[in-house]
Amino acid sequence: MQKYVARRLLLMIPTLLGITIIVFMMTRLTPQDTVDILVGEVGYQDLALKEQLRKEFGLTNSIPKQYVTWLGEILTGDFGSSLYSGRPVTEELKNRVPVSVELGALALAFSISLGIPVGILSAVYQDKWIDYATRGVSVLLLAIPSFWLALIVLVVGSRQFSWAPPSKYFTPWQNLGENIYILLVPAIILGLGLSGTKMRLMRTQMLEVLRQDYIRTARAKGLTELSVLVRHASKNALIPVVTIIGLQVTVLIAGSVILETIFLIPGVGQYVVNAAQRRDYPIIQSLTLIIATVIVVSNLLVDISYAYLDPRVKYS
Amino acid sequence: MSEISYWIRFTQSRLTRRRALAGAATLGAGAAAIGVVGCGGGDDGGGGGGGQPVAAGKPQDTTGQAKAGGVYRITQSADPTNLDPNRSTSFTAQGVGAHIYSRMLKFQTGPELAPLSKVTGDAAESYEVSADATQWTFKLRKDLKFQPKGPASVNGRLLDADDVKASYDYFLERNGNRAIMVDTVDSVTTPDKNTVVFKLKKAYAPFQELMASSALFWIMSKQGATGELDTQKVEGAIGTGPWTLDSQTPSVEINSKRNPNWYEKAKISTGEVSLPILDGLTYVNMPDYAQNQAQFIAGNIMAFAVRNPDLVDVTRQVNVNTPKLAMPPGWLLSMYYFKLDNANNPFKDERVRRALSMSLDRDGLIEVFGEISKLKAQGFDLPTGWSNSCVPWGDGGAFWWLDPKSKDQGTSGQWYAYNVAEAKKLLAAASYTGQSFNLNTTNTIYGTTFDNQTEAQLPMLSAAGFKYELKSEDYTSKYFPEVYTKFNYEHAAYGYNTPFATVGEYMYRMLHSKGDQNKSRINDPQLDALVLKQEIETDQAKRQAIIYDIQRLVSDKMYYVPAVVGRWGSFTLFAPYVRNQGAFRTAAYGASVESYTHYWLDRA
Amino acid sequence: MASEAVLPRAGAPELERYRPRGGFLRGVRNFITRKPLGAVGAFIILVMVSAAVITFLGFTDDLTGYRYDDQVLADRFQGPSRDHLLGTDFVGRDTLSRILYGSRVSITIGFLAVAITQGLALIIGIVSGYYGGKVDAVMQRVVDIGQAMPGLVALLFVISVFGSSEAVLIVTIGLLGAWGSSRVIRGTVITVRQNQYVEAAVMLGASDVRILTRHILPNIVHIILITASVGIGGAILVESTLAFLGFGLPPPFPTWGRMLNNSREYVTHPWLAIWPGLALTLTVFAFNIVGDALRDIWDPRLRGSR
Repeated sequence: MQKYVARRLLLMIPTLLGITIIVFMMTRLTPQDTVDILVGEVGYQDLALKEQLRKEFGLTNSIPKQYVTWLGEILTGDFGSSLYSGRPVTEELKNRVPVSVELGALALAFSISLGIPVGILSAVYQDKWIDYATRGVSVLLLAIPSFWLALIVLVVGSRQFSWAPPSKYFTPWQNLGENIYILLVPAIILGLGLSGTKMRLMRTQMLEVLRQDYIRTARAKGLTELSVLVRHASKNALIPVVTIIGLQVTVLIAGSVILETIFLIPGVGQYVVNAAQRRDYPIIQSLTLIIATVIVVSNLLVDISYAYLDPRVKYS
Repeated sequence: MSEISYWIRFTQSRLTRRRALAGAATLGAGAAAIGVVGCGGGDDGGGGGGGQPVAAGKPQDTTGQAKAGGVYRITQSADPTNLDPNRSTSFTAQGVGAHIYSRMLKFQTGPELAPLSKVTGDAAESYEVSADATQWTFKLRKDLKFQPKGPASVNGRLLDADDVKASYDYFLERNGNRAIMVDTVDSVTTPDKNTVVFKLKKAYAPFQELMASSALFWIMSKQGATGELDTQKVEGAIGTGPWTLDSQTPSVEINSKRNPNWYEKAKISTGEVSLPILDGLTYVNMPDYAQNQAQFIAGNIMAFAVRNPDLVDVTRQVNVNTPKLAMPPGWLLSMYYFKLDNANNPFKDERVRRALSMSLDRDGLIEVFGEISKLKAQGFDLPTGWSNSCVPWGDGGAFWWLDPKSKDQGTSGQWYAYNVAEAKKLLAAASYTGQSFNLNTTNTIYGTTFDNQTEAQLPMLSAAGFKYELKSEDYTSKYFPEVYTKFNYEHAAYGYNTPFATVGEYMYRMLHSKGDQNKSRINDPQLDALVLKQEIETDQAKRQAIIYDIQRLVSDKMYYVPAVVGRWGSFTLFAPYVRNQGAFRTAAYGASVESYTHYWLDRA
Repeated sequence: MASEAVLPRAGAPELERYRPRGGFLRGVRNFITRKPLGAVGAFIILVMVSAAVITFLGFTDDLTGYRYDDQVLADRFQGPSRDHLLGTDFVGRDTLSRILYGSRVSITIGFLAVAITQGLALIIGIVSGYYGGKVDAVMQRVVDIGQAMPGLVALLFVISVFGSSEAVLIVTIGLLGAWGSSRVIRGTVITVRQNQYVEAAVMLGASDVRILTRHILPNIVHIILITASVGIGGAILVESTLAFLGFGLPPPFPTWGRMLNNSREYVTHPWLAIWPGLALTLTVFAFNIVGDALRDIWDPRLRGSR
């Protein structure tokens, strides 16, 4: 197993290189570059200024050269500065990324604690009304567009209950209570959407598992139903579910742009959209690197968990 | 009547002798006498049933009763792209400039003054113009100090001519908007510590408007201009303007404090103080309209630009004493433009262009999107107006704008009327029988009002017989670089034009055959001559007459067909304790900053 | 312990396929009684698909009496009435017509994007999971890269280069989802492959194709059904999210997402937001429920007590 993990960690490197190269090229091969957008509608004809800015931003070098330069800087810990605000990338991201991560984590945690037990319940009481109710509700949850729900919550809240989400954001260090309060509603909305798939997958898996001979054996041995469910059945059922969780990890970083905008969460979602539209290359590159690392690591963790959940799965 | 309606009447009337004598247009006391009483029945203390009338009377200057202190908390739709206005042309960056830096001149504000109607000094206390309008000499204030912030080399010291020169060099080197200055200014010299001389390449009568523009030349310290201070960071953004930048939390808020060293003074309840009256400003990031609404109703922010369809509903939910300020929209031009140098397109014929103009139900669109009658029935009187082919109707341009509905417009006024039958006749006369043409436009970037209005207008074109293929393109990658700037469209296009700071720019850049924003590729020698004529006319009244002539000419040819996106007034609601809003109004980028220096909060 | 977790029982190599007795109509009635939720979902899908087909053939105007861009400014913001069953929008267009038109876009994008996603995911997941070793290692790196691509950023770029058309959206949305789905499939394939039964088949000399079709595929059908039914809904939601953000198909064509975007401007007229939101929710709901029900029926291991 250790060799496997070590090998996978090594393989992370070509993956990360690959993704950064692709994004690098993708962003630079679009028709408009940063400078075109930066100088705005009025300065568009000012070719001298644009040349000057391009030189300053290093955009006149060939793309491979730019990439190598960037790579070199990254390896020395220099992530560059935003071409728009002039502030270092680390400064721009260090406030925003943790916020999105916290929102995503809360949402994910909520969806897991809701989805998995409900899925199990649904399987145990298959075709009884609980099953129909939970299935209906779970599918409804993942069907409702989260931005629609967010708007409704906001509008109804303000018109019927004179409620508005807090307008000032506090980090957990500043005021944990306020922080959770601010993130609660959007995290729940986001989490509801994420829980639907888990519920259904968990239900399916449990249904299969519960029909197996060894479950019958366990029951015959006199184990309590709870013990049967938790110790024997659930583990096996979890593999696809764990995979899904691994996939949804991207929500930690990608967050939900719309929810962040609507609920005043100063996360990285809207910022990334703006950066992409403005071709703020250093920001896009760094963020891609972060997201890629998170995904690659989470995939690795998921793969490792397969071995834990199902001992027949062996890695050499 | 609101402050606005008498102002509108002014613009529709002929220029009186009094105003001609006053030089730059100002609203004399005579105009103020027109319609001051609050309309809509009753004062606004009563409330109850139906709508509530606009704040009665014209906006009052209550500075004499003002109490110092308080922080004004409002929203912004996004972080400023950069704290240094030379490094980003975005209105957000220019807004930062308006807070912390001075410019040479600015526009005077006051209860009797229309926005952008009178130029006055900012960093310069006076200026002289040579007879041929090629040399402008500015005398700087002797008491203008930098904000008490930063290293000793800047902290609290006096501004001098070297600062101005260094700032100008920096501006030339970096600013995306520099083109107009590069084209106009030949050299800048500083004969002494308090004098700056601008020598122009050609006679340019409206140069003072450029110097007063809040989107152009900002005066920094020489340390800032040369890079010794990092002007892109909060610590290095130090100027001589009314507000000192205090802190910024990205994506969350920006805080500024009042600059105790500012030169402008006023008499408040406790005696004479230097403006601003407030202690500071806080801008909270809030891009979503629904969120803004919720926060205002909950009392977390102090001002809210409510959209007309929501006006009645929102005012029912808030305190009856919530003041409401009716304002005309900003100076923004939306229009259809045509590839006039293309021999094969239907729009070469002016009758086709006129027909397009006549197919648009302008008042209908204004009515729908501005909810004008419905609001009027509830007691909310809103101003509306039609842009005139090349001069938009809106705040800041009232003096130059010719009302297409007025008699002054002359025969060219007929092309603005909504008359589908007539439009069809024109098309028939021009032998247009439904040949399909391409109509380029964009979406999203200009907001949902623009998108919705585009959707609403298109069927009007079809109803008049136009057959077009709509090409709604992504702004950043297609529309802006190709259509907007290189004019690479085939037949017709539709969109906004960047609001220029001065009417002269609308004239030259959009209408002159050599203008860089001449989207319709107009090549009309008569028009060219008029444009150049208004550029050297120093008499305001005469210049206005020339610009009226230009508008009549362009309207007759419909080189641009103006649309009416946003050409209706709207209301801003304030927390009940905000004072002096509306009494000191200005327009264009950073407009609100000027006003905020006079605001005060009437609460414990 | 986890021995036969997801496998067919030893001695039952063929999966019993559900064969309706008594013909098609009988089957339908059975479906309705046994899976009432699924029946509801199927009905909704039938309605939506019919709407889509009718629109495609060009008959919607005759059905409702209005074109999607027939605007009568004076009639705006009306609630449901006899003239306009679902009311009108901000320029007086008939909401019902626009919803029906929108269904065509949503259904098309949903189906085609998912076809791409699942097709690609199937290939990648099976090859990667079944063959393991170096093949797996290489393919999973490609999958990592595909997954790590920030979806929104990629979409923005693709749109900025190729414009925002249905084809572009279908291909891009389809590709975006393929990597994740392939991981789910791969996970199951890995587990299935390990079981003794498959090992036995290998030793007996069965060809890869036979093993794949007889053993592996049947066990992942249910996974595919779930991810596909979720995927259709997901694709529709992505399109509407894009439209909501302003990047979807350009006006004036009504897509549900675009209608929701328009409605943001008019929070005091909730009807504008309710109908498209409801349409979206119901459609996605329906696809998921039907997928559930079909899988319940086809997979004999999951048949309930009744």
